[in-house]
Amino acid sequence: MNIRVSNMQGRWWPCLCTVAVFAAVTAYGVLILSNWAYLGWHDTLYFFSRPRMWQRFWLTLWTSVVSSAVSLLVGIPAGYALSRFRFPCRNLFATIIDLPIVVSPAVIGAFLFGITSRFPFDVISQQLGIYIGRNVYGVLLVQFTVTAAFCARLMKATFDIIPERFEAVSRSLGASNTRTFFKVVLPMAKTGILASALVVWARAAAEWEGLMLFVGATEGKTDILPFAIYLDWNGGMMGWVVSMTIACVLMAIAAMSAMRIIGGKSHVW
Amino acid sequence: MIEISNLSGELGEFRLRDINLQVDEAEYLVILGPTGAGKTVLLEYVVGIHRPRQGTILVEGQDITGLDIEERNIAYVPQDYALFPNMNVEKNIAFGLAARRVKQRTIDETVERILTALGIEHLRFRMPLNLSGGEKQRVALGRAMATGPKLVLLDEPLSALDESLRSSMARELRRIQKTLNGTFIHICHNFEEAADVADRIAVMNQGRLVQTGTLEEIMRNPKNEFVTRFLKTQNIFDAVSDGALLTVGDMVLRKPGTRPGEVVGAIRPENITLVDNNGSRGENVFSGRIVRMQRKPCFVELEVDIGIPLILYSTPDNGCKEGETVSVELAPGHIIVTEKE
Amino acid sequence: MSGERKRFSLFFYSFAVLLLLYSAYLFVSNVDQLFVTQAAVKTRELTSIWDENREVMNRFAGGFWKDPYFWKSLNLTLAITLITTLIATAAGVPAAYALSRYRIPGKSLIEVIFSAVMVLPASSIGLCLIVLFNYGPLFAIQQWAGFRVAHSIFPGMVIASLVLSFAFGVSAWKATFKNINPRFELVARSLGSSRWCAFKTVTLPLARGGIGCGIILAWTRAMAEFGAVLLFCGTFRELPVSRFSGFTRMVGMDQADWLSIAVWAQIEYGNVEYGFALAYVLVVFGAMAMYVMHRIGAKGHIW
Repeated sequence: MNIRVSNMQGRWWPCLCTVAVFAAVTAYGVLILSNWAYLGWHDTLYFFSRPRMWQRFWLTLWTSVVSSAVSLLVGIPAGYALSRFRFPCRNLFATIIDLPIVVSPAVIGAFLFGITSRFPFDVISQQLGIYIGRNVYGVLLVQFTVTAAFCARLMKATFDIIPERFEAVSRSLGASNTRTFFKVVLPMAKTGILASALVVWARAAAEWEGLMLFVGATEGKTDILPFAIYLDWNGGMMGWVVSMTIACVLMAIAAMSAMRIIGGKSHVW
Repeated sequence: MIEISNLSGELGEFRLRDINLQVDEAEYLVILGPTGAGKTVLLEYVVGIHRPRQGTILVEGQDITGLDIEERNIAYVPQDYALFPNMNVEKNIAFGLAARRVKQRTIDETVERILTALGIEHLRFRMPLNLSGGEKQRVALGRAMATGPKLVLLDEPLSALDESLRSSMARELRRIQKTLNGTFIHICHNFEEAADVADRIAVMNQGRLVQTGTLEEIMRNPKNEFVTRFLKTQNIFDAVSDGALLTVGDMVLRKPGTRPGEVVGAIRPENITLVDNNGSRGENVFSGRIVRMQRKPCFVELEVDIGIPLILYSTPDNGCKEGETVSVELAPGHIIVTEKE
Repeated sequence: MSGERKRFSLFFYSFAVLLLLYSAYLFVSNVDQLFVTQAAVKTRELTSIWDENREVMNRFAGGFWKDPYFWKSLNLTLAITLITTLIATAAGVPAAYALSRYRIPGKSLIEVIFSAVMVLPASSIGLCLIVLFNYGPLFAIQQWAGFRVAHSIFPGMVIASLVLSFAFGVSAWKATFKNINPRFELVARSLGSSRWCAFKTVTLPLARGGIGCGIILAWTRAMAEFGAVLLFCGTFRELPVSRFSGFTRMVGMDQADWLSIAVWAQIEYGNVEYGFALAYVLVVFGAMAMYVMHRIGAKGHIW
């Protein structure tokens, strides 16, 4: 029986796959690079030198850092719980937790708009005098809502990679659960957590649709980069829009490259 | 001083049925059994990773069945040793002591003592990533013994090693156990490995403890057909006993003191001897043709057909050839008889 | 269980429960937005299109199920996301397979680009699409063909939702294939099977769950798309019927909007109940999809 298949005949499948990859990458690459092509080097530099651009950039930066920090604070323990402990009706549980991640951010914005007028937010605004709504706090809340569950998911994946054996050994040596978590589990999860933190931050910095409905635009206070793109687009300021897009692209690529370098191949993203 | 009574439970597809076991202080017990016998379930119950459905575990009289892992003072050494990758050897060994908030000076002394006893002082500041298999084993044992546990549980510690290393590593384990005076329970599925290290062996199958005893005891008097087969007793045959004689097909073997009825007979290869063709007549001497002569790494294996096929061992210079007729003696004392299941 | 272990577990459980409660609260407490308050009725400004339905509008959820706009929008969104998911799967599964198995030059860079696209703001993506299609060489081609991609239903909306849907799908499928030992295919090929046959008969059945999860993720992402579609296609409701082609009218997608955009538009107009009703429709779709995905339960990806 002749089982030799002609090389060309057999190779169409890997060719197809590779072509698919390169076609996709080219499409994405062209998509991203067209901004530069449109604006040109000189104009890009001009826009980047304007303080308005930097003002928005810093706003985006600090809000996303703060909200992703809070997300991490909630997400790491939640992820550990999801990874190690058993939950009743876990499918239902997981679905409800995942909802803020998969549902359109416009919907999130609408819903946040709905709940901030009632408990517990009205209590907070009365007692503490902090009004969460059409201001920076609103931005922080939206970013937190969108990233918290996402962070928990990523952390769960990170902790899933670490075998439970290490915890059993540590505890069999007499270490308390808390000690085991901080001295054994966390150091082993270090790179995974860092890489996940970067992804969470990037996601927070990219969030804006929720802001449209919930926060509205206040120049200088709530117009983070992605939102500003939309606002200026409405105003027809193409130059600004394109340069801000370039800024966003650079931020995203920087974050993802850093994530790859830190996380190496072991990360799930 | 470790007493396990009526331990039963299920973990997924693996189950444990009514385990009763005792381990003395400073004893090396091996739990031997095929995959799926429930050895890991037993281990996880004793360590405290899961709770058994029923049964008690007593350590020096104290009931630990309800206690958490960190309260039991039972050390656990998994198959891949699980050395904490973010700490060096010294910190790994000191981990249990630091967790119990022992004074730093005592920690240093204990770590020093253990490093010396195990001969690994030169590895003190190495990271686990840079250790060889044997070194990892020593560090893992040092870490386990540093806190003076009541019991050390080893899960298939030699399975991941190269064949050639296994024997020497097994002797290492034994030596360390004796030096540090620990009580070890060692889980494995390999009979040779068990033979190398054990004071006593407990054979498990399908969730039950089948037989416990020293190596000699279980080799000479296996309780049933399963144990016979598991201990690599190669020559197993069906027979009918009338109390003093075993009838195997056309042959009759003398074996006094057996229960009448259908039985399973066996004899270990090393207990069959080649005798001169016209030598003094011993008991149970038969002649047969050498069907196959196989050179093994350390000896020669002969297959002789006397009516039933027999495997026996010899040395390379025995002067025999395939096809020759030889006489073999099956001394009654060496014939193992178990009931037919 | 010891006290310490109890406290430890409880502490960590509470964070997961916190997320659960937050999410549940967010979605459940807004149900009352579906009901109209009398004050809102009086001060409401409705556009002329809704006048005939005023009576209906002032009851539960703006009577959305009676409104043809809702059904047309639903029709539009489902149809487009279906097409998008199909394209994403057809192109994405082979691409993910290549990324997981083959040595491709510049793979790290490629993976960085894919990840970066996933975290880019949707408005940036929408804008990139606009720059790409409305300026430069592609625009000239479109002028010559007499057809504009931007601000169109098909292929405009398809492309807008495809960009992100594809990237998310590839991420999930790549993880699936990475989890399957390549040795299986090597053995199959050593027995004479061609590469495609080996993939089809050995890997594909093993990857079924993961591919399903990826498809669901890609579809959910497409449904959730808002910013890119908004910038690239805009809204269609106010356009006169004549602007739509005969085909569009035939399948009942004229004067309809992408659902997430409709949510925003309705709330902006003041039809809060209607907007929330649309939002809940989207949530229901999303929840059903996620529940199915969790039931399939493929491992390896972040889900």
